[in-house]
Amino acid sequence: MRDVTLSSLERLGLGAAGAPVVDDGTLTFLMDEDAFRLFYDRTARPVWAYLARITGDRQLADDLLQETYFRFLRSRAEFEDEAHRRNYLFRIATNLAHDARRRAPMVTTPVDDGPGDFAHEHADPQSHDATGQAVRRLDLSRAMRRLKPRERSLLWLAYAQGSSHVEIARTLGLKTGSIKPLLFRARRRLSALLQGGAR
Amino acid sequence: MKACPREPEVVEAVTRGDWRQATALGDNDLRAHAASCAACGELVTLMQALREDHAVACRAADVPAAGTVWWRATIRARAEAAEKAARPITLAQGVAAASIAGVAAAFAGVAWRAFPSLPQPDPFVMLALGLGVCIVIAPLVLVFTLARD
Ligand SMILES: [Zn+2]
Repeated sequence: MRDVTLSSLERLGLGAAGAPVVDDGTLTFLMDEDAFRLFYDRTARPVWAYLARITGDRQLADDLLQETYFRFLRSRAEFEDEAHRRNYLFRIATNLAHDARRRAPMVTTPVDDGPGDFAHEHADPQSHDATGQAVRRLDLSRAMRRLKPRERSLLWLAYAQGSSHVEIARTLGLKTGSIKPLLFRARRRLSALLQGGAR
Repeated sequence: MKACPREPEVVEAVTRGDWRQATALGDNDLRAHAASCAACGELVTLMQALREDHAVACRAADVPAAGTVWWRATIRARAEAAEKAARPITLAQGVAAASIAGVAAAFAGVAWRAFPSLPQPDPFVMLALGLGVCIVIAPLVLVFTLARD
């Protein structure tokens, strides 16, 4: 996989502004098309799921997915490894989703409406504790929508995606040491919402 | 409820895969702990719910093909780059339009003075009128130019 870094862009004599540069019809992005296809195929579905869950809006998730990859492609970031690249992608998605929710906090196309609903069938049927029963009874997506955007992101990244605290900190632009208490609080809130009834 | 020091172990076991399978493979002690620890029990339940939700969402995701996303990005990047390249031209056009307006105003003043039968205003007034035209036209042209960007 070949990344075009800031230094190589400068060697090519390309502009320093944020947008990719068109030079003799050649477009310069963060990576070439083949590398992008591989990266996209590995990440698009998790990114969409993340966007859909933290915005609570499928249609918005569709729009933000395209925007996320556009901003990723035209960025000039340099990455240590694949995990770093992924964290950066999710950071773009996070910022876009939080900005979109700030501008339009009302949900227009809820995630758990219509076909392809993924808010159900998630509970462990063998679980007999109170929270487990609540999870089966209530809708996780509705409870998630009652959380703050950052709480949704924290819970999704940590527990749905299995990201480490370092990765979550990078994605959300927080200090690594702050993740543990923030995550614990978010978890307690989600649990309370599920047990108390999120509807 | 307080956080439990064994939570990282629980997170790792659930993240590895099926919690029951993981515990059957040697984490029986952990499973027994989670059954009696409120924090870990809650953690397991929420993690299983979120992980299942994640798996179903990824399956349900109807994402466009990579080629489509790449194609749209290139189209947009080219449009933005072309627009950016055109900006100095439109600015230059704006300045040129304001200059032409100033020259036209000066020419009108000279032409007016060629006809002594017409009432002749003070040259200072004429100069002020010319400057006024420039001052009014230039910002208008700039506003329209920048609005297009
Ligand atoms: Zn515990």
